[in-house]
Amino acid sequence: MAAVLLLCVVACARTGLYPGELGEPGEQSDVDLGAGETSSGGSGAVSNAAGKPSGGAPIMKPPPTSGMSPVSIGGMSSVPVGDPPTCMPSPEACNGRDDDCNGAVDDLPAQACPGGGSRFCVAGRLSECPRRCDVCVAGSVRVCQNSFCSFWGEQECAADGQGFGNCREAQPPPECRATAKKFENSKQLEQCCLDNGYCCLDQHDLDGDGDRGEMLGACGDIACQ
Amino acid sequence: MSSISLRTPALAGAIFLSWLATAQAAPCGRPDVDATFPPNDADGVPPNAQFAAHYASPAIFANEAVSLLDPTGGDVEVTVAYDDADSTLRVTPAQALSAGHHELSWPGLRGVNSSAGVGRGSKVGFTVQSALDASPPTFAGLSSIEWDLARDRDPCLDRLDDRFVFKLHVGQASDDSGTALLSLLAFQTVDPMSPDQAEPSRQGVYPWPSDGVIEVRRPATHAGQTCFAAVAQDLVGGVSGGGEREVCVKTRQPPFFEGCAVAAPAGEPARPGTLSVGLLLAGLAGLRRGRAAHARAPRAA
Repeated sequence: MAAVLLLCVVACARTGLYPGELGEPGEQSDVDLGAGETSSGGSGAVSNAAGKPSGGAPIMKPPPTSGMSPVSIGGMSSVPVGDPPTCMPSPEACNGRDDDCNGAVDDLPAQACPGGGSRFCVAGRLSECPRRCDVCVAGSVRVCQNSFCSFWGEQECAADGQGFGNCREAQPPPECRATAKKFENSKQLEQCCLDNGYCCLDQHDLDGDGDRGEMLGACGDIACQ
Repeated sequence: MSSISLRTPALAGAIFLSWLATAQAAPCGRPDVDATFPPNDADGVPPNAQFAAHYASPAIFANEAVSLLDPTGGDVEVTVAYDDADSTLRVTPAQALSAGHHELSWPGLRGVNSSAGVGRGSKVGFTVQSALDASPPTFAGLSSIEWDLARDRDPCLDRLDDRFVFKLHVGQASDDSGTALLSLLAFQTVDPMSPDQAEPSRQGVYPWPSDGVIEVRRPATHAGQTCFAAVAQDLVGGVSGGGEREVCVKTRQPPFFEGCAVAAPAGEPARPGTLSVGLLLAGLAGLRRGRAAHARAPRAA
């Protein structure tokens, strides 16, 4: 019985570890304290550009086709493997190939975006035009509604602009106080928010587009575009 | 009395430290200059360089003065433009710069969010060389990636937020003006938060890292396959290749401590530990039942 118990305890100690989590010999494999796949050193699952695993559970995307092997005409191979590599140059395009045979893939100038910033050729395709923030302007505030007390709240944007905080209760402005008291968390209160020049979370989908997470109203200083 | 005299300085010290901590905390949304191109004290800046300052938060440019002083202390004529999408102020000299030490003063700008106030500007000095930068940089791309989880205190929300921290290791680069003057543009090419997104999204523009590593922080709300790529850009706008090399990693959602789970989560096969826990519990139950039986036996007798 004691032997069974010991076996169980040893096995239990492994619970929670995924295959490969312990890493390779020589790597840190301390108990993870909120890190990724491995250790206190902060090295989670690691992969490198050569696709060689270096602990954890590496994942590498296959490298893009090189225009240099074995023969490339605009990046298209046409000669059997084994022949000496040659390259037929063509204008460089954003496609993950070395079209102009200069040894660099997708070395293209930046493309100006209409609203400012530039697009770059990355991973064989053009990047999106930049926006001034991810989700919202850092520190900006929008109005939200809650289901208790004042039914009016505010959400502040995080310092890195990557999302809003919780809906904190606040007092409704005088012009919406009666609406909040009468209709509580409602379309009417959201409409009152819009009518009085606030940037409001569209919790009640007033524009009927099915998106209840968007913002409506005077959101020029809050939205990213 | 003595205890009061001891406590008073301690209290004052605590208050001072508390004030100091508050004073040094990162301001919420203030558009400070957080990177300049070239960086301060740079050498070998080409005479045909264009200059840029990145602001930490979206800002409003109201024609604030930007001054560029040549080695004689004279003003250099420049064109100034603010790029709202990049939160970047760019300066283009009207003609090629003369060789020698220059000083460039970047202004503090007002935040788009009115409560953010006016950010801090920056004053940088650099040395201009005589050779033009004629060719774009070369760059081998990102070489590897690590990830971790950080719990950051957000100065706007005054709460802890989980962030995935990706350390991107930067490959070899070269440029005719030197790598120290390059900027690194990092892109997320696969994002578990928006798996259908086709276009890589820019995560930031960084001064070339002397230690070969940059950090990208993303909200830890969606875990899964995450990939990045990067290109280098020189001071005349030349762009490298290397962006075709993606480094990827698969993140996991916190919390990470699994404990001794009895049942596997839905959709996942039972792990080896699960069975052992079941055996352990069964064993403990059996042991207890045996003891109970032993205890009951005399009573029954």
